[in-house]
Amino acid sequence: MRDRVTDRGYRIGDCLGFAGRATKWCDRMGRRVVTARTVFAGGLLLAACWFTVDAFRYDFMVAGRPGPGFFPRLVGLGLVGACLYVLVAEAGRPRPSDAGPVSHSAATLGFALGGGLFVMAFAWLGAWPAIFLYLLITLSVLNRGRHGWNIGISTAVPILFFLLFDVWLNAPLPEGFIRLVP
Amino acid sequence: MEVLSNLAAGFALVLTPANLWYLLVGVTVGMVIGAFPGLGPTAGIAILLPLTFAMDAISAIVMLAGIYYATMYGATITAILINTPGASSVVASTFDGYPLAQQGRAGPALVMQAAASFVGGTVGIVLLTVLAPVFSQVARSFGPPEFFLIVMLGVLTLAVMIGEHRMKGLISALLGFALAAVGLDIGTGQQRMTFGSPELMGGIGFIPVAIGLFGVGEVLHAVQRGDHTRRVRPEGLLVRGTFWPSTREWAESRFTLARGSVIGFLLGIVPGAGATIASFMAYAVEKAVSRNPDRFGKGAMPGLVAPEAANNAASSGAMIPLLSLGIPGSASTAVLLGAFIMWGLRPGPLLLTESPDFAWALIASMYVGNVILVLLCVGAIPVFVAVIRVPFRILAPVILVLCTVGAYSVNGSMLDTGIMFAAGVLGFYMKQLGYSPAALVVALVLGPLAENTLQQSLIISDGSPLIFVTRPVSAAITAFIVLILLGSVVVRRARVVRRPATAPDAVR
Repeated sequence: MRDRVTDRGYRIGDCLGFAGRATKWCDRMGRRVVTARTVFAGGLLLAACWFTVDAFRYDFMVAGRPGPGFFPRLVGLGLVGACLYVLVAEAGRPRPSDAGPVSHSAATLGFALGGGLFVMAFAWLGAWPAIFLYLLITLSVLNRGRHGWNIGISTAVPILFFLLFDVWLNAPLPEGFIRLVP
Repeated sequence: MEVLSNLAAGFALVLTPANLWYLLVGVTVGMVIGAFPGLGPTAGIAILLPLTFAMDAISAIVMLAGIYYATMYGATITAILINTPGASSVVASTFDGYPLAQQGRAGPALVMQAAASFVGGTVGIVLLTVLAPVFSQVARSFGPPEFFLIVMLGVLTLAVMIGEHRMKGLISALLGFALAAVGLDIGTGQQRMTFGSPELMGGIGFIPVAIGLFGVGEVLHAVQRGDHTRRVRPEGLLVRGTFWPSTREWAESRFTLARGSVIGFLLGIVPGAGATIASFMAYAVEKAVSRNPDRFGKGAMPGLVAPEAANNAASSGAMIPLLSLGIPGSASTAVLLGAFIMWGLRPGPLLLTESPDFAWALIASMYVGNVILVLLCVGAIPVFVAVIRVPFRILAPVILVLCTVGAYSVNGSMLDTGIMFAAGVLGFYMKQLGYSPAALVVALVLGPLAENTLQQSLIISDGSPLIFVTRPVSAAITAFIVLILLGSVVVRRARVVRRPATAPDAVR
């Protein structure tokens, strides 16, 4: 027969064991549930909820006719329902295996971040410097070693776009705080 | 006879030096865009649309329409030579096109695809010429309930039939409707979700969204796939031996051309079906009626001819709902519709009577463009081969720059550029995770029409939704929608039953 201390020890051990098993279960479920698909579906669900809540600010009917909130509420409620369905379905889906076509997530992220910075620089720096710098930097990463080609393309493309948009189409692009064209 | 005189007037407008030049530019650019995997007709039209602001409406639409149907020609070049279809509508062409190239018969394959595209396109345009006025006449009897249901038919078909998963396609379409709700409510003038921004009062423009989804999104998707690391293998691009198909190949393809063209045109008319379904259907039919079905997939010329004739005929067929109803059947025709509206045109039952010059010039330009394309296709293959050897790692940043500049030039607004980039990131994830960017764009363009016609229908019926089943035409369209939804359920269930039990699909 176990004494009190040992008994307490076993109980503590049982609790710790249970906690350990629970933690492992949560970790497994977390890794199973938190995938790109569920995160994206969850993000869409949040956006749908926000849209629907905002849609309820507008009148559903005005003078007996559909008001500004009529169509958005229908769309919003449909979106919330569909997103919930997809989120639950994706959460219940087995995690995709690592075997499959090679993906270049780091390159994609880098390219997207570079693109975002370019879009911001497009307004601040001005179109032409931003295009030149973006192409030069991106090509030097993607097209390594071909410095002549990279400089040539980085110079030719802004000139071509200047002729196309500024000169032919008369659609000026942002000059930014660096005014190259008086 | 009236059709012929209208068509003659259309030719008179198109056969001017300026319009012929724009047509040549449009079809050439379209072939180049189609040849690059990752950039499809939607991105091409959306990105180049701002360039047409300085032109008159007829010149602009002649050029943009040229891009639209020329991409089908160009997309097949890479499909045959390097087994990389430039658009989903030419995937079926790879089944036999690439094996033919591997057998050293790339030359005959390219010539046959040019011929098939020309025949399919011409049959489609002739049928368009004859049927567009008929459809317009029928559509004049349509009221708001019928238009609302046709919008739903187009959007649901695209979302439910084409996409990987029905619910994700539905989410994509509802997202498009949600984006379309931003701006001023037409009925009351109240601002919706504008955050006090005067730029958003006009709503979220479809051009930046289309450029983002199909331009930036596709580039990101291609980088994720690793296209920037690949080199185009030169041996895949060599056209060896005789360039001309044999007499036997011409003979065995003659009925295939007719079948593929008719199937393509009929499926092209259905909003949402489009060239992709048409090409697969034509391939399946051809294989089913063939005396030697085992040859298919191993370099059978009819296996290339059928989908090529179908996808080009479908691009003409898709013009019927666009011109006569104002309902686009695909993302690319949705962008074309947006362009029409921007120039103050009203695609719909009255287009052929209110703006006959425009409509018949467009149809006439398709005849001329088709002839130019078959000559370009056969004569300029080496040029396109050189073009597609440009590494994607150089093209990718240039495309992003072009997208940014194009989005900005629409309204001179950095907000549009930001929307374009955000749509690009959204489009990347949508494509990666099985959603439908095409359904989003179509819903965005059709959202205002859907909302207005729904409201008008409920006003007419004093709030009763039964109006959609009590009017005869509405009831027929409703029944067709239900049929399509049920059909998609049956087809998916059949696929799941046929698939091994180890690969269940969670989302339906």
